[in-house]
Amino acid sequence: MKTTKSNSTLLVALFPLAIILLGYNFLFHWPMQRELRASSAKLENLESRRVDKIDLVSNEELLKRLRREQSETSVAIGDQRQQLQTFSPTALRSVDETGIVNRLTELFRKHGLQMQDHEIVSESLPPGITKLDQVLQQHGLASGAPGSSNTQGSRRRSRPNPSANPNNGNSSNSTISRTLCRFTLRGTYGDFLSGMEDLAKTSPQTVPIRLEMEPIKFNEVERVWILVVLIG
Amino acid sequence: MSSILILITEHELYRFDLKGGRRPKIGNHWELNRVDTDDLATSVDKVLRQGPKRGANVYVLNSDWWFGTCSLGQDVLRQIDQEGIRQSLAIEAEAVSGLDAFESRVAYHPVNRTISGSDYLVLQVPEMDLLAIDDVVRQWGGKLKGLAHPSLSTVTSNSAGRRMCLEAWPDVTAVAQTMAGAETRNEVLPGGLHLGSVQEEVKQLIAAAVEESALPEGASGASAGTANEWLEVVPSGAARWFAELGLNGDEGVQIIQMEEWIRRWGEVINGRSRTEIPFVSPGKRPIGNQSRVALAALFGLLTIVGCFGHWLLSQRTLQTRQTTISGLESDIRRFGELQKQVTEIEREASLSQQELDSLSRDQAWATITRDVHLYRHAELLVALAELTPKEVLIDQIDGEADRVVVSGYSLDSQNCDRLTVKLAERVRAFGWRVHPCKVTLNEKQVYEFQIELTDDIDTVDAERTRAAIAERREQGSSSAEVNPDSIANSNTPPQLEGRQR
Repeated sequence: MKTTKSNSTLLVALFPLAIILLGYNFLFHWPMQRELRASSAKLENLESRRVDKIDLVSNEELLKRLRREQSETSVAIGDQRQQLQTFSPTALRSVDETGIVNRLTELFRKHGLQMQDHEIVSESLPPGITKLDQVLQQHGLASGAPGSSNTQGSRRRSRPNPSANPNNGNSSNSTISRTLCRFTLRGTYGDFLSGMEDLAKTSPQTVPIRLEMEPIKFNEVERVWILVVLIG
Repeated sequence: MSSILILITEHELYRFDLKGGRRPKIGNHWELNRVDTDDLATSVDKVLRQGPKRGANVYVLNSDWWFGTCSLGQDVLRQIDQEGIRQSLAIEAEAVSGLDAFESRVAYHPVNRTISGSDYLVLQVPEMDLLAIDDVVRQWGGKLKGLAHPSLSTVTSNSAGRRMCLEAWPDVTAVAQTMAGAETRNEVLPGGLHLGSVQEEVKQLIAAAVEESALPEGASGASAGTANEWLEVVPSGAARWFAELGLNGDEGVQIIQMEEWIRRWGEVINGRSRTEIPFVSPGKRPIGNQSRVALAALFGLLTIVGCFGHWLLSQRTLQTRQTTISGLESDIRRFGELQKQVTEIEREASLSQQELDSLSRDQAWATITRDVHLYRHAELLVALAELTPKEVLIDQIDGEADRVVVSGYSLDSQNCDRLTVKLAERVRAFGWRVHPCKVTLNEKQVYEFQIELTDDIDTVDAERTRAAIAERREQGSSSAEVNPDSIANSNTPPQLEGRQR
């Protein structure tokens, strides 16, 4: 009888304990255990994909090196673009075309050639120059937009020869406008040849693209030369 | 812890405060007359409250409780354990005391063991008395340690020398005998010493003791100064009965005084010889409702604290784990970003390298193209000056953007072909393709020829062209020394002069 009584006392005393434990289990313990299990699984997963600090550091160093190399490459690209830019007519835009003509006139005169006439003309360009313009356009260096020149008077500008390059129209939205100047000179074969060589050495931007030599007149040593030069 | 001894006799109530250890001393004591209408618990309460309240072990001695001898046969003893002995003795005692075995508590001590069975000293206390006294003692602030019958306290196993002690109580007469070094022999006679049968038994016991110990004559009370060395009587009130027994209180019996008797009980309850005296202990009390609630609340509180602690621990574990997870995730994310950036920058580097290669290639090509155009006309003129034989007159050059036609006269058609071949070899590096010479014989028997050069810059060999241009640059001044006009003027053969003009 005593045992039964003490057992019931124990049960009564343990009842709230059981209620509290049940409540704790339902409300706190099990959710916490779920979170712990989830975090444990996540942790195991992350541990399997653990990244060593060494890898991080080596990647950061690699990134720095690549950025440095990329920067050097960009500088090299800039240099190359700048060099290529010299083939663009914009290289001559800053120079007065009249000044170029005067300078060429002076050059030819120095070699004994008489300047009979010169004019800005519109002619087809040689395939090489056309292709050069296409290359410049591909690299975004075709900035020689019409109207940027400061040459006065009537101007005729050359356009790339469509027949020489059928794809020219599709290569770029912007096109290169070249300025051609046709000189009519009078002089001997030798004078003209030395003038041409001097022109090539001293004025690399003024490229001869067409040459005509007219027949010589009887008992004369001088003849008429027509030279078309790319001046911009 | 000090002890308090409560003695309840037929008409008196005593409280003795005992101090000290194995040989305690009596401190304060109080005495009250017992009220007939008071129950036992009330009497205990009254006498307890006479003195100061302090935590103490409380022992209650009451001569009203049934105390006697019961026997159990060997056949019964073989079949039962200690609890069985207790229950069997309770049933045996019930037959004598009239107390229900299930409503009483029993304490016992074996006194005589034989082949046929064992005799036990048995104390039977009503359960109601035990609980009521326990409640009273608890409420007062003490702790009830045991209930006992007041008899049998004065002779213990370690008493020196031959002793015989007779305790005369209203309903019980207890006789205890011991020899030096021998076991104590206790005997409880039912009934007071006033009963003739008890007196007769006591007389026989004393006589047997005298005979057994070969005491001198008169030890039965006649000779003075002999029996008082070994016979003690408690209490003093019983002395008158000894006169009837032929024992003289002055000569043959040592009357134990109250103080000495209490001191001996003090030794008993402090452990010297307690095992020989049956004590009923209250045992563990069932917990009350208030205590249950308090206990339940305590358990609940402890559980809540435990749960909270566990939750905090789990929370901390979770936080630690989440911190680790976020660190790992951050590392992995950073690593992923780095790899992505590396991949991206590698892709950009590849594109940049392609662009650089393209620019370098195009720049080289553009340089050659420009130089070719710069020098190709001069080279053509130089080549014509150098390669044209004297029999050939170069008369005219027509030019278009991608085409040059050199026209002239010759007396020999083969000269034209030779010139064409040499010219083709000379100007190939400058992007000219020289076509076969067109020769016609006019009416003056002079050959007119045309050499057509077309632009073929796409097929030039870059290295060869570069070398040719470099050579052209170096030879520019020397070539100027050539006077090609002599070819066209002074050196013109006479046959050609007329045509030339």
